Amino acid sequence: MSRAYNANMRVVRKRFKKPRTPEEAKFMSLFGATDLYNSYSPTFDELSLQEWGVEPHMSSDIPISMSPPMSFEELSLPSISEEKETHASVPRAAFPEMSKDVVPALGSDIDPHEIGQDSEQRDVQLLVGLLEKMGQEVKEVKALPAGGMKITLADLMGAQKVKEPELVRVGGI
Amino acid sequence: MKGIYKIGDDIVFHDPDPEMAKVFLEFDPSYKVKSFQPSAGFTSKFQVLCDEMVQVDDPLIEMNTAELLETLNKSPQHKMDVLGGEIVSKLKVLHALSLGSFSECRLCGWDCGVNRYHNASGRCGLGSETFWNVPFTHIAEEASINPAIVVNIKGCALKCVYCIDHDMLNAERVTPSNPKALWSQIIELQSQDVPITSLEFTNPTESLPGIIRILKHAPVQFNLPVVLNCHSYGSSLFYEMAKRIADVWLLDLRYGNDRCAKKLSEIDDYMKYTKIGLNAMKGERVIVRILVLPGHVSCCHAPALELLSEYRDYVWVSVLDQYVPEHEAYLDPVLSRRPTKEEILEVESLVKRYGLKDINSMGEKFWLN
Repeated sequence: MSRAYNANMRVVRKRFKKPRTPEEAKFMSLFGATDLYNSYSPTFDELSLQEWGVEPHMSSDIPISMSPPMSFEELSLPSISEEKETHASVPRAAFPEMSKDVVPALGSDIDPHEIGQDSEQRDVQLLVGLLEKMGQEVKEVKALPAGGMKITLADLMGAQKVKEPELVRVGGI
Repeated sequence: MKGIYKIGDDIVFHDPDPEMAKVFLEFDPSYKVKSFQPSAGFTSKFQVLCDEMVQVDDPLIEMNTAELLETLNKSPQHKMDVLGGEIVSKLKVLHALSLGSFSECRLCGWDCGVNRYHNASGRCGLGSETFWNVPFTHIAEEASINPAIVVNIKGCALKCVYCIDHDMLNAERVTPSNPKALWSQIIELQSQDVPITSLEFTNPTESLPGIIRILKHAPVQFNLPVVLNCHSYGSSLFYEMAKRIADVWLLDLRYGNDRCAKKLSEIDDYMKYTKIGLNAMKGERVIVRILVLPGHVSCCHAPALELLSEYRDYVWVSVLDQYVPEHEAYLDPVLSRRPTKEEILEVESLVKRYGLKDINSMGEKFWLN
């Protein structure tokens, strides 16, 4: 078994969170609503420290500077139901294809009724979208029997042809 | 094959290659591939064995185990000093010794005694051929061996209910056992922009002769540390042979008692064989990995770390918080979840309490001395 790299889904959610519209921002600022909201919403760093104490693989003394949120439209959301391989013995998620127009933003705008399976589905879509944006080819998404999801990437190395030693003719006809 | 697990808010990237670095930067803009490399004067053990020549009076194939071991322990000789007989490299002698072990295989704790040239009826299900998957560059190993070119060897004597590699270990699609083709793949990986630190073989216990055969075909200029990533269920014969090529031992220590080992990996006498391994590695470079299993801190990890404290002079510990309930783990109510932050922190605090060296916090000292 090899060592793995661990990360946290909150980073992805925050990265692709839909920025507030000017109208929403104005509404939130009325009567100090923003201040009230912020007082109940821990920052990413606080969440991380609460969750892990010490973040493995992320130095806790280096502040994690988040880049400006990427527009959700930059992601081409894949259809998770398009599976290329199946294993009959393993239960899997069969998510209906979602239009990116109907995917709600996460974070402060989250609808409490959508927490649960929907949020799991959105998380996986965000993660798959991020992976594909980074040039990874997602081969399969399946649910683990114990809960959680496994995303398998295409084995690009395995498909690579091995270079055979070249035969070079020196001299002759 | 790369796999990514998402469980709750945790995302676990299994076997990440250099392409994944771009993804990790999205999670952590300060992400860097950590690496501590050996000094320029480093020479792989197997290359030393290649250069050390010994005289043999009989063909290697006719020599028994005791004679081969005696030959291996001889002082190296110079060609000019040899008046009669044949002169061979010690790596060749070691290969002959390892091949002999297959005729009555006792490489692991199962002690099957099966003739693997005739059948593959031992616990590991392997015959005399060695199979491996296409090698890849792994960028998330411990910094002292990272990045590593990993050669995953097929077959394992343990049947861990939570095995994350069960697909790979039992895969049908494996490359033919052609060391020359493997070396062209390794050289290709080495020629890319990633500065490779080590060459790592997984599951060496059951397939040691195959690994030695691979090393016999290594280019003369290849000089990376060879890492043997093994379970701690090898026999003393295995360690006697393997320590001659292992520059770094990467040992998985999963349990702290025989009962859990039997229940979760279907093996007997786990602690006995663990001690055999740790004693055989005395004075070597050893990294012991503790994969935090949910619900097994007090019964397994605490006694395992207490045991390791007896070997603290040369053992480095790496606590892994990457457990995911794979394979048949969902059948066990305790193993069907991720370890909690409290369990992980408790294991990390035990490492400190027993005065053990944490490879992930002081890995820069690993290659000193």
